[in-house]
Amino acid sequence: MKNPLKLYCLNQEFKTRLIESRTRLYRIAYSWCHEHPLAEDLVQETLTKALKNSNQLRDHAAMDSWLFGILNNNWRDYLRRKKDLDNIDDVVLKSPLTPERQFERQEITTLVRKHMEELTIGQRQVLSLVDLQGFSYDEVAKALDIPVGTVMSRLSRARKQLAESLLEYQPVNNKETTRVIRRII
Amino acid sequence: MSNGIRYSDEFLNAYLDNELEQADKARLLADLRRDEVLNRRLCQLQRVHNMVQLAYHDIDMPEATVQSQPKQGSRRYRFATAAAVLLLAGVTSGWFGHQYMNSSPGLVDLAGSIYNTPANQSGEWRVILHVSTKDPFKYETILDETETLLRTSSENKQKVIVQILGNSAGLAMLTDDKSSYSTRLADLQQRYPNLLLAACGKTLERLKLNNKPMPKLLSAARVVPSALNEVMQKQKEGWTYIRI
Repeated sequence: MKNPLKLYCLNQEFKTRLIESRTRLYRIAYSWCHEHPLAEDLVQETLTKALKNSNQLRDHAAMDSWLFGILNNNWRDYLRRKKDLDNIDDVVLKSPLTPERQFERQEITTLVRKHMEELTIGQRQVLSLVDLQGFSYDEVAKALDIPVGTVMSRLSRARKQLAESLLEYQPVNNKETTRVIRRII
Repeated sequence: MSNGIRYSDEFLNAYLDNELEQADKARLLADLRRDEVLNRRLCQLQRVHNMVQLAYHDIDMPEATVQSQPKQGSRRYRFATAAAVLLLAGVTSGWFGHQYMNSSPGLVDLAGSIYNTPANQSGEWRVILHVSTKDPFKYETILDETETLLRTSSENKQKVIVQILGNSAGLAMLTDDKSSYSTRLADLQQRYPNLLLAACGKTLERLKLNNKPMPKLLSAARVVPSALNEVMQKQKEGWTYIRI
């Protein structure tokens, strides 16, 4: 019989890095789903699977891609279970716009998150991994199991769409500004 | 005349994300010095990048709070958290930790570490082993570990209660199908009454609903309403939970 250690063997470095990765995983999970309980759920599931399948990690240098790949699989499983889409990359998730949210739009953070929700899931995943996680295109391709060319095109479309939506933002009242900065001497 | 049109958005993004070769970078930088449109395009992409970073910079993972009193939240969330936290606990205290101890099996180590803590007033260790997959190799491992624990604790006159809980595909372990592991489990249970077997009622209900064949469980296995509730209840009562 095989030694049970072969099944569950984890080294100290793996454990430390796994614990350290929680917040980063959570930030990305949140940027994908925009729901705190669901993001927690996805991260916990990712950690559980990572522990369980630690023997599948051949190269510790690639641990981040591997972990975010597990997160991606969990996220896709969740979406499949919800059965609210046919093609995961074409789906746009929009949250209902309540008066409260309308008001919050004044906040740039809220505005960005709102427009992130208007991206397709595939675009949002790529953008968050590059901008928030600092992944190279190659690492994103490995984590999401897509070609590098697809990473580039999704990223490009995502940033273009966000630029069109976000850079029109004009929160400052120009009339008031003019009055404040008039010349006084 | 603007040269900006020579560069695709993908190219400019690759520059921003430090993905360009040095030669391409140098060419673009040279053009940026004399092309206002190109500058504007790049600046817009950079602003988007900064705004996205700003929008999520303060997202932090809440502290894991699963102890004996689970926090409010989705059932699946609580279950997963319990599993993750206890797996992590297992890493540091025994089940997995025995990789550093070549002589003795994990459950015995874990039991030993708990017996020796001041918090263990009752002098009894209760552990629930949760199985949710059909993996005969894992079953053999669990049986090895459990048998060693039960035998050692009996010899040392230590009180131990082990409950094996099966749900989903893990019900296979508790099925009386004359497989090597089910025969061994039945035999083990007869020798040690402090080994309890529990099957998830929800899984059985689901099988029935889907007109799937109902498994014949080992006679010692009792059916609990749901694996999730069983785990939460047992944790509340101070049991150690290990998901296999």
